[in-house]
Amino acid sequence: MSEAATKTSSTSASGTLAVVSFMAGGHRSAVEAAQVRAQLPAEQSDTVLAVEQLLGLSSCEETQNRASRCILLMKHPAGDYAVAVSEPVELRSIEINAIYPLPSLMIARSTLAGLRGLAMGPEGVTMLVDFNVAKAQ
Amino acid sequence: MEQEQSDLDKVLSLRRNATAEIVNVDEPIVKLVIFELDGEWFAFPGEAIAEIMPATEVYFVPGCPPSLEGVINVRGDIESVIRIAELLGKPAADPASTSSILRGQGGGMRSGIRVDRVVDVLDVMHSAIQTPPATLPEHLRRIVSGLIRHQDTPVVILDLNRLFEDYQHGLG
Repeated sequence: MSEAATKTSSTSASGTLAVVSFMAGGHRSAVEAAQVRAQLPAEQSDTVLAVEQLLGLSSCEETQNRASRCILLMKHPAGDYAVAVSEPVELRSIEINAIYPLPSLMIARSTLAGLRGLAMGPEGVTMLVDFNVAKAQ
Repeated sequence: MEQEQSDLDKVLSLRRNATAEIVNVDEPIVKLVIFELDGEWFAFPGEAIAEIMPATEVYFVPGCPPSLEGVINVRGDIESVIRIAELLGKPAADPASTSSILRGQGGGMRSGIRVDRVVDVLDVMHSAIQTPPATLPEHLRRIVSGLIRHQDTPVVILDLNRLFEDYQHGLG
């Protein structure tokens, strides 16, 4: 995934949403590509937030240690910030029709910070998260 | 020769033309969906249950209480699935078993509800529904709306509106 690729709009005329997908605590997750400035190797940043900590996922050390990590540099009006996520990290398009708002009871009871919706696909569920919302919570 | 109408004829004629007042003696009927949890029978009013679903894949979503099993895809939409057994203080049904999912709607919300098995769907006279006993455990008092007997087994009728509202506010 290059920096240039993420400068495009998140939605396309073909009815898809561009996202950057990754693993968080062993769960498939994604953020809007428009919010990501760049993907960096893990070594290049020392002040990073772990995605599991940011979202409030229970720490899954085994997953974190085994999976190779990389950094997503996120855009923010107050200054960019870095979040460490687990690979595979991919720039992909999700059909709008495959994106769903959270069911009411899940909105009420979920403890995940920044969880905005779910995408359903052949690979199962992808959690659509917003790091800026998670940081503010 | 025109025969004079007798008093009886007049009475009979009046009675024939009279519109009999129809008194509706039908009792209100309530449809119930009866299901089993850990060997005990419970029911939801039929109007609260949109569908009894066959075995469906449930997708786990982290960050939810254990009683919120995940989400299901229902013909292009998604709905949560809750394990009602845990809300009633009973052991959870094994999702891999022959358990069923009821699609419930109440309090402006919709969700799948995991039950051990669906026992029956039947109509009962409203008068057959008894008020819940005062001895009900505290956590059941608000969500139990009545009791009936079916096949010599007590059936606890649950109020799905209240159950969803309470769940939203932390029940289970």
